Amino acid sequence: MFVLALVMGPGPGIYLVNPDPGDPEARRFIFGMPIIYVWASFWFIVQASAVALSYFLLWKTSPDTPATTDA
Amino acid sequence: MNFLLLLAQAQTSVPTDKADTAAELSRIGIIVMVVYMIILLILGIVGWMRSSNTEEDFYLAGRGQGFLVTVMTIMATFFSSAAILGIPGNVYKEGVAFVLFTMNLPCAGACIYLLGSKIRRIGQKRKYVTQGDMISDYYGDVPAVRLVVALIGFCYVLPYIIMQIKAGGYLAQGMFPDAADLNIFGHQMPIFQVGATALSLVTMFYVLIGGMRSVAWTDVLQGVLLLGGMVLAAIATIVALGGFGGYFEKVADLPPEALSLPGATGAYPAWKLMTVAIFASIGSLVQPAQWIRMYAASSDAILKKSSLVFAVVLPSCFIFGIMLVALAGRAIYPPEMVDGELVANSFVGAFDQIVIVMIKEQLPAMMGGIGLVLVAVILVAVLAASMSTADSNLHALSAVFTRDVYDRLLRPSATQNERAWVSRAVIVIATLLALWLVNAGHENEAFKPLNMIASLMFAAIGFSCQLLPATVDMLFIRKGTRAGVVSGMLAGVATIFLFKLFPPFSDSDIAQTFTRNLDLGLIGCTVNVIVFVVISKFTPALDREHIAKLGKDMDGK
Repeated sequence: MFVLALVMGPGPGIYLVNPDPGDPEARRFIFGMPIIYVWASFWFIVQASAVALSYFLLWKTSPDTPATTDA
Repeated sequence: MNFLLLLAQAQTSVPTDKADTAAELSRIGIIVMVVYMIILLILGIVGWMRSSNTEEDFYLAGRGQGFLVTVMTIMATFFSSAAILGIPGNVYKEGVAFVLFTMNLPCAGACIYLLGSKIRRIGQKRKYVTQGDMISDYYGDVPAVRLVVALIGFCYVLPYIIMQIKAGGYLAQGMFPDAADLNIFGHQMPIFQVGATALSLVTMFYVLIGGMRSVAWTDVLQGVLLLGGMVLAAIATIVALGGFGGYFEKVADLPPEALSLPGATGAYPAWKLMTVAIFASIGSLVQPAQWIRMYAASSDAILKKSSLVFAVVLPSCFIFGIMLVALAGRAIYPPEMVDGELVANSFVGAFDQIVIVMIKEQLPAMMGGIGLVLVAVILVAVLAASMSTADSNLHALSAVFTRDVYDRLLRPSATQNERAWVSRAVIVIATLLALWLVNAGHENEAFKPLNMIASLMFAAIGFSCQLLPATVDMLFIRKGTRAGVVSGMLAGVATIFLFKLFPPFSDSDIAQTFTRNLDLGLIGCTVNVIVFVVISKFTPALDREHIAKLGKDMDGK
């Protein structure tokens, strides 16, 4: 999910919505904001959700172990 | 960085009918800045009073950092003044394409846990202080390993220290453009020198007396100012433009080239943005100061929580904060084409100035006296961002030199007390040397050492990325050899030099094609990994028993 967000957000996936600067008919805005901005916001939310899911479901913490002296 | 040339021009461009506002801003700015500096000094002194006189305390605050301090010091170290100046400046120049740069932040956030927890566990168990301690314990404590790791560390931290001090000078010049030279013991000090000196000496003072504890505590204040400044600037801009309706109307004026990739000058195609998002983030997290912060955290749970907060809060402050200011700025003060080159609007002066100009123009007009206070607070947030980067790197430089060079190579018999004095001497010498370079460079723009260091800064994260293959091998793969890791890192560093700092090659078509389309760190890492793997294949493997023992310590088993 995280890697998908990287490919779709700043990666080549952006070309799915990237407006052609030379095309006067290209859709450049959505909800009053530039479409690229909205796209970036959406994939950031996906990235942040992936980190949040990992935090709650995947990432484990381990108890501390005493220091050794052989370092 | 370009913004260093800008702050100097910012206030000088204030129209004469706004002279009173500028004078009032200078007065309020002095009060806010003095209060800020006093709080920093108090935090530094309290940090010193709470510390014990041991190396572990000076470098790692006794390895007992809690959640708030850990997350704020990682954030404050991650961003220099570029957060409020350079990055929004790039959005102002290129348009909305550069907003995608923000997506490097969740990557960095995730790595705080993914890399940091293993680094912390083994660091805690084996009493590591620098990254050189860990890498040389893993690959064999021979001078070559420590020296190469220290070299990469120096390539990262030195330019950062110097350029942040320079930023302090320009910020003072920008805030107090009409200030007369100060006469100190018969020596005339222009406001630039006063700012650079104040930033250096205050930073040096609290790093010197309180070490990591003072650095981290001041980073909390600086991080709050930085994040608050980013959000505050956005709220003020939207309110000043008449709410969201007015904001949308302004943004609708953006020209087509500012609304699509690869940006107005064609600098950011998707592959470049994606590779920057990955490598700039991880490269910035494996630099010496952040590595030390992983050791300093008191538990895995704290790094895990820091990871989540970093990945959510910091990018939010960018995307829904400071980036909105830069986008509106592009619509209000569009850049101009001069001789076929895109330059900042003449009212703005330079790209990196856009946030400063926006808040200075909009806030006082809308909110009067309170607006002036807010402008002063946001300007101090820029200073805070510079200081939080300078202090962390100064502290890391002291650790790397003392532990990896002095203690292991120059004076292996040094006592802890001697090392403590050396580490403090490094802080003083590095600060004074950096200050001298900055002042000399300001008086003579052709001053070569400073110009070379400025160039080095653009490659700093690329250099830091060269620690990545070794880090990934130690933490996850565990198949590399000593000769492999040293050769790989040297090959990676050499590649960065070739592609960025060696004009006969870096100006060539082939080098330009690569650097236009891919992140510099990725280019160096690719060569690094190839050399690392090939050499590791043909050189003696490390002692498997030793590696298994270290692996258990990293994995917390």
